[in-house]
Amino acid sequence: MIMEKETPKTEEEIVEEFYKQYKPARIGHRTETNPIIEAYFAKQFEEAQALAAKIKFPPDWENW
Amino acid sequence: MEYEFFSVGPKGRIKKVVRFIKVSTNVGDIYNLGFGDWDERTRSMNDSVTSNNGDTDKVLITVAHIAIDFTERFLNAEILAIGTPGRIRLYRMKITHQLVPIYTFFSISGLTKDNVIEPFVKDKDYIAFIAKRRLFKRNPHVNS
Repeated sequence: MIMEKETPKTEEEIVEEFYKQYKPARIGHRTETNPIIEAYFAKQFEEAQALAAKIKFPPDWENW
Repeated sequence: MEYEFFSVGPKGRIKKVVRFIKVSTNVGDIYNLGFGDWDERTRSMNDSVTSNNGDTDKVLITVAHIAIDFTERFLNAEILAIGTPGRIRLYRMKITHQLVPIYTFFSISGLTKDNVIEPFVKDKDYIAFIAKRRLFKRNPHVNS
């Protein structure tokens, strides 16, 4: 029996499959300001910035 | 840029807030993926990706869609994901088992405890992840 070779999926097909299979919750954009949330993310920024400054990127990072 | 969505489960509706915050590195700016739950009752935020609301995969899939949307608006943006050791373990597990198939859209690198970037290795401990976009297509699930 001759097996047909499976055609590799195109990027378009892979993306379509992802959207079909993995449905997100309904997403919205925040527009209101809230000082509690601002303070929370300010702290996250400090932590992230401290870590980001220490990251040792490879010389060819752009091509990764 | 900030996004929000709701986790819905036995604990009710929990508002999740995602914010991308620009941070500087020695190769330029990248965006930290900030994440938290807004508790309307106590009017406070907490840093928990799992709210024990029975929908962890849905939450992470939604965060993946948000990252996809963000990197379509800000081309070439690289995303840094850090967090508590528990959250990082959860991300690693989901990436390893492709339960949230972010490989479809991103190449993933891991940050070792020595602050060195390397291509993601399954089951290896990392302190953070960096995602670089590779496939592009408009996310139809995000409401502008």
